[in-house]
Amino acid sequence: MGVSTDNFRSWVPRPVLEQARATLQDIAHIAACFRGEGPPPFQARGASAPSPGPVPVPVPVPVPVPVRAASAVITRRLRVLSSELCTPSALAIAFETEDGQPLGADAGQFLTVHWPLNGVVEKRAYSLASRADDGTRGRLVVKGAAGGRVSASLVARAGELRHLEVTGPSGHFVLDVRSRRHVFLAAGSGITPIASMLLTHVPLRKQDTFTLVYGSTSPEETILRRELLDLANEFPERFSIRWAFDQNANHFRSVPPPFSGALGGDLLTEILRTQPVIDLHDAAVYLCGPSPMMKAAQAVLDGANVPPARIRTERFASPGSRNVGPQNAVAGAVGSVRRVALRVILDGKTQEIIASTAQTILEAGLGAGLPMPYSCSMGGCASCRVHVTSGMAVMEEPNCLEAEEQRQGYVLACCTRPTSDLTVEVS
Amino acid sequence: MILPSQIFSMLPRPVQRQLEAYQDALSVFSEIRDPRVLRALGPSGLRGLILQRGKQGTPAQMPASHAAHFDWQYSDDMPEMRVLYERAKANQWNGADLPWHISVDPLNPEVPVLPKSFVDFEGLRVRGIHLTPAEEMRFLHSLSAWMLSQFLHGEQGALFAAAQVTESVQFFDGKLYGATQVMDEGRHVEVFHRYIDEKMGRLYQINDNLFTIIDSLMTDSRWDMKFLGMQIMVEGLALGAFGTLYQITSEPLLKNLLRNVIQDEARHVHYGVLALREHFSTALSESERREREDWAFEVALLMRNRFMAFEVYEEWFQGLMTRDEWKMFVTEVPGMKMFRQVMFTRLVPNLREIGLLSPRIMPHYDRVGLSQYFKGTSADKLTASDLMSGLDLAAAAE
Ligand code: FES
Ligand SMILES: [Fe+2]
Ligand SMILES: [Fe+2]
Repeated sequence: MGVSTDNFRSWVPRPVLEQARATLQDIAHIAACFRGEGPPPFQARGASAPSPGPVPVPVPVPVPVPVRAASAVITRRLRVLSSELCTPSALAIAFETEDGQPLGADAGQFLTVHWPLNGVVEKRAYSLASRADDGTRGRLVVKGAAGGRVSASLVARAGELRHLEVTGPSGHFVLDVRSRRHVFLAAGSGITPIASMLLTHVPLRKQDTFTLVYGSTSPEETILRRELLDLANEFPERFSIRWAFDQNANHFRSVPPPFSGALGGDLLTEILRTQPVIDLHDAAVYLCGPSPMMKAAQAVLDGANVPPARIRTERFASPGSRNVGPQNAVAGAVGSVRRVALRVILDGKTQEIIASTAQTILEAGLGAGLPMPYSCSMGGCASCRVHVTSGMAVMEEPNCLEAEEQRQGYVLACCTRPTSDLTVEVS
Repeated sequence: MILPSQIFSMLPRPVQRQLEAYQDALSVFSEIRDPRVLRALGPSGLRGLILQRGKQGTPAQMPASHAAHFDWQYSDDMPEMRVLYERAKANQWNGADLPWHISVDPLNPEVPVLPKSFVDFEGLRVRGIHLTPAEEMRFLHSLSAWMLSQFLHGEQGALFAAAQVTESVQFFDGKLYGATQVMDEGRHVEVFHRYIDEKMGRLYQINDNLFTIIDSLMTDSRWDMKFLGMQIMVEGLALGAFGTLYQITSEPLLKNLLRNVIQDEARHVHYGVLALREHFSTALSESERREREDWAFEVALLMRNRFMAFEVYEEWFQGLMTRDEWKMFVTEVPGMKMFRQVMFTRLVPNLREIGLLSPRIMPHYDRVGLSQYFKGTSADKLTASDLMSGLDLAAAAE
């Protein structure tokens, strides 16, 4: 049967044709190679090739823009718009950035507040408790009573707050954007970063479901109760809350009724067992609260075989409780301020600088113009982690370094002070 | 040997050479131990090493099968990437602003593109090959044109891979950033192409191993494999190669050009580390992670052992020495040693940072002599200026 080439082309599918053509070409190529007639290794280029024309005046090569100012820790000023007690012991501070630039925070991150107290600038981390997409505005919640000296002082001076000096935002406690199901376990002021995530993401992520288990001392002491209830009413199809109160649970009406008791292992197990809406399967789980609650929750999640990679925790359970001031650390260790030689190994280069035992490694390094990495500047994010290769230093506690990392000789440059000549490697 | 040596020696010369080349290509596959890695690299290896699709003189088609990932929520999902995006916008430069008026003579020993110390000419002499000083300069010209040609081909791969990655990456901030990388890579193609055209005067064919790696990551449908291949491995290779050349060249235009390109590349690797660290630690099963770990190891080996400049060998020495002899010679060339050193100081810490350097794989790196790089600084901790000052110091010490 005589099929002309054109006919043949028209009834063979195009991909097959192309495949055939490629194969023929492969065979021809290999055959040529075996005859010693393979392609030449290079081709001449030059005058004949199109060239983009001469440049009349040589222009200097651009200088790279420095990524981060290297002189010292740079703070940002916030203008306080209002500060009022939102529970008998918690202060909500609404603010806007003074430079008019967006805050640039991710929901769940925290700011480090630099607060002068008894002649020393103290630094404390406070989670944002506001929608992260509010542009230049935001809100911090500071829990006074159980918190440390800084929180107490902030709450006491609520009426006269006009400005705050902050660094950040920092932290990795943010929504796992690839998960479609999110389970939040919060207790006490641990709700703040979680509230920020919920307020930000529930309205926007229409495909996702969010459930929150929130334990608090009493309905009256519950931070952000109003906002969370409103959110749940507005988006009932994707957001629900289970409440638990140590006391006065009967003062609070909800469907289902609130649980009674402290949010520990037993209560959590019961809630997970009786509330099918909290589905851990394939969910991202977020934990924030006082450390006993965090431990208990971890254990429950382990028991439920939730893979560790799906659990996110905020290690600064109650940021207000950082109580060890710099003076304590230094005085306890050496008694008086001395000069020491600090060697910093950055990218294989060693730089020696003179530091004082009253300075953190970060302050000394930045002061000498070294581009040391950092973010929160107060032990909460580990961006400034360095490895001590020789010498002695004291690190303030608490901080977010794992025990294992400490054993391996890592310290956080932003809250560690040398007590002898010291060599650290930026890793 | 594929054939017994008596039969082999009876074959015509060109056939012998071709069989030698195939034998070398096959040894690549026989060195891969993990079957999944073999499956992932195999088809690309066939197209690159055996069929030499990069050398057939026609455009190569690489069908892609990834999904474009849309995000109608425009989520702010990776603040660090947003920072990178801002930085990328601020640091754009114009390829036309380089000092192109500088005239380059690749054969001028006063201003060498590659110094003579790059090649161990003594190592050629002991193999019975004596080059006159003028021939040495011509040989260096070939070698530098070969290197720059591979850079150019690699940049073309980077341009298309960056575009694919921009489509398929699952972070919205990453997509914006990706757009700047596409621009960067376009500019790199522009400047290397122009340098080759105007200053070097010759363009070498793409190296078969480079073709294989590019083909493999262009055709893989998994976005994170593209990322790993492009942003970590190929960019790592590029940083190694650019860094080496930057340190040793005396040619001012090239030095300028490389300085700018390196600063872009540092950002690209940083981006890869950010995206993959998150993804590998949260979204992969342990077995998937292991597959990537093995893949990265094999590709690292491929990059270490396989950029042998066979194209230069074919031009200069085919018939004068065997492929194996050439391989031994090139491996020991001081410039190549330096290149491996610079490349792995960048690459290994990045693998560690994204979680592909678990205790399980460490012994393998150790076995091939790479454990000395375990402790270095990863790209996300390294600014472009750190990187440059490191190179400048090394260059001053030369
Ligand atoms: S800068 Fe965040 S822990 Fe030191
Ligand atoms: Fe590039
Ligand atoms: Fe690149």
